[in-house]
Parts: sequence; structure tokens; C-alpha cells
Amino acid sequence: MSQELRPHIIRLIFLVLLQVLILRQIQLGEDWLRFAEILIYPLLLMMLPMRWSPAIIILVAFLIGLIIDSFYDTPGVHAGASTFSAFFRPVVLRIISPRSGYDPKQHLTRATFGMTWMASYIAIFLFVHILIVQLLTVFTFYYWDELLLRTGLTWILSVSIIFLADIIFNPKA
Amino acid sequence: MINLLYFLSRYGGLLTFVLLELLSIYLVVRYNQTQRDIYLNSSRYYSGILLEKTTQIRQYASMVEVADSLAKENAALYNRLYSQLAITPRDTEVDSLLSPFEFIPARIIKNSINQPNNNLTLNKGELDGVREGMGVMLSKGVLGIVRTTSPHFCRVLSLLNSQTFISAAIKRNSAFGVIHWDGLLPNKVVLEEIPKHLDIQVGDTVITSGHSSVFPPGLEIGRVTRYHVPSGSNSFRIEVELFADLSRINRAYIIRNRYWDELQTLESTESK
Repeated sequence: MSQELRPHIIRLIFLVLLQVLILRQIQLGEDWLRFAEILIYPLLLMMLPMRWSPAIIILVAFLIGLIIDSFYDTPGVHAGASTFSAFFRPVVLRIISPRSGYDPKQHLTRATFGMTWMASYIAIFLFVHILIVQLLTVFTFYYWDELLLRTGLTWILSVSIIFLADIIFNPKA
Repeated sequence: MINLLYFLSRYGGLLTFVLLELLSIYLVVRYNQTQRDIYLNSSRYYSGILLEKTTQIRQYASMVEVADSLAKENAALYNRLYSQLAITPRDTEVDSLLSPFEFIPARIIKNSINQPNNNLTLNKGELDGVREGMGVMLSKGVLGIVRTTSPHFCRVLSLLNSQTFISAAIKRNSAFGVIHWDGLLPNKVVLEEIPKHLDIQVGDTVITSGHSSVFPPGLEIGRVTRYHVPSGSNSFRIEVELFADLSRINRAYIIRNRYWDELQTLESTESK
């Protein structure tokens, strides 16, 4: 069990530290660019094993979100978004399901399902996640243009960074 | 137990999701100043709208009651007002404070103005002390005379009825005559029998004369709009525009004279 969990835990520590110590500090610009954030921790939620029951996945996602929140000083925002996207994850997976379907033992990585699959997984999952994060941040539909701007900017940046990181750190696949 | 496990495996995800999502939103609202303000403001806004709507509906439902109580209050005020104006039969100290007139508030449940002879039905009857021949007034003017009564209702001969004759006077000089309807316009009546040597002017206010036990004196009826002396007549024919719009009334006051029966007996013995 611990053998199996170890890569997850290492990834958790590494990505959370990267997120809260480095990416949180990055501010790209003054004016409207200040809305742009880089969120990389959703990769953790994306890679939680399919074998786990939905309840466990949602609970773990909630806890990861709480950790991020405690550093971002936004109690509930990332926790809520993580909970939602973890709940929504099976839907995303079904949308991009490969022809052969999924085997619960498989890892949700580029190595298993290929480049196109990984790209769409990242794009859709992050869109849902970031939309909820920004919705909970803005907390109103009244400034819908700001909501869309925040979501769009953060989404583009995060998707590019995660995708690049995936290619750079796992060149084999 | 197996059922419970089945339930949890089936809906555990949904359950966990709902619980944790609600917890997250609670945290967001509880610990983030901006979101907290937005939440408080908008919840106050929407609950305000809700409260306002329900209050409006409740007020609308109680409108009839409110209007009834206002009508009652008006009647009481008329009682006090006319106790100071009216002339009482005896001039003793106690009786001089006591008006012979009482006012019974009533709702108009049937009205017409476009017939040659118009009648109304009011929701007060014999049980409320209404008798045949009593006057009916509005807040601005006279409405007619009670013609028939039943225990709970009465029929009123409208002012707009060729059988109605009401004693009226010019307020300025107390010249008195009789008002009746010529059957033409629902807002115009005719004042006749004022001798032609008296001074009449357009704009004069016409009031009840008080020369009957039906209406208290001084009730304003309308305003003189035109007058002339028909050829071969000794009196004016004066056109009076009513203050009240009889097509838009829904409340009236039935006037009860305390000495009604006494006056009736007295007058009937005299005429025999």
C-alpha cells in the first residue's frame, strides 16, 4: 500500500510546494493581467487513481484544496473547486473516453492514453476547475466579464504550463 | 447492512460531494471578506424582495377589512362633525350636544348610472337599523334615498332617478329648491323652484338644505354650472355639476335620524 501511495505523496508534496511557494508569487502584470494565475495543483486531482471510490477521491480533493487555501488565504475557494471538479471528473473522463474504454488499474497519464487524450483531459478538467475557482472568488454573476477574463487567462496559462511540464518531465511517452 | 453499503457505494460520491461542497461554500462565505459582503448584501436584497412581496399580498388580502374600518371611522367622524352643526329639537344643555343624525357605513354592492332610473344595493339592512326613506350620502355629496329594505340589504333610489327629489340650497344665500335628475348626464342634476328674483351665480356651491329629516344640513352636493329662467316660469332652472363621480363609488353612509319615527308620525298626522 505504502509502496503504491508513495509516488502520489511525493507528487503531492512537490506540486503543492511549487504551487504555494513559487507560482503564487508570480504576478504577470498590472492592469487586467493581474487576474492571470497559474494553477498547477489540479494535476494532482487529475491523476488520482481510478480504482478509488468516488467518495474517497472527492474527500482527498477537498483536503488538497484546503491545503492550497491555507496558503492562498482564501478559505473554501480551492476546496470548493477541487470538490466540484473531483465530483465532475468521471464525466470528463467519459467525454474523452478512448475507444477501448478504461481499465481501473490504468494510470491516467500521457504514457497510457497518448498525447491527444492527455491534452483534452487537461483542457476540459482545468476549465471546469478554474471556472469554479473564479466563480467562488468573484462570487457573483454580475461582473460576468471579469469572471470570463479571469477564467480565460488562468486557463490558458495553466493549461500551457501543465502540458509543457508533462512533456518535459516525462519525455519517454 | 448490505443495503447501506450498496447505498453508500452507489451514492457515496454524491453525498460526499454535496457535504464537502456546502462546507466549502460555508468557508468561503464565513472567512472571505469580499464574498461575505456579497453574500450578505444579496441575501438581504433577495429576502427584502421576498418580504416586500409577501407583505404586499397580505396587505391586499386585508384591504377590504382596512377599508371597512376606515369607513367606520369616517362614520364616527361624521357623527361628531354633525353633532356640532345640526339643530336639535330641544335646546337643553345635554340634548344640544346630541346630533339627531347617525351614520351607518355601507358598501355598495350594485350600482348603475346609465339607466333612465338608477338604483343601488347596499350591504346594510334592517338589522343594522336601516329603514325605508332614509338618506344615503357619500363623502362628497348625496347618493339617494333608501327605498326598500331586507334584513341584510337595502335598495337605494339613486340621485340619478326620476323619482328622487332632494331638498337643496345655495350655500351663499340659503336660497332653497329641489334637486332632481333630468336623465341626461350622470354628473349633472337640476335644481329647480328657486324664485327668479334671488341672486344666483355660476360657481355657487349647492348644499342640502336641512329642510327634511333625511339629510343633515350643509352637505355639499355640487356646483352651479349654468342657469336660466324658462319662459313662463317664476323660478330658475339651475344646472348643477355633482362633486362625486357616481360611476366610481363603492362606499356610502346611510343617514339615520334619531327622531325619525317621531317626525314621521307627526307629519303623517298633520297631512290627514
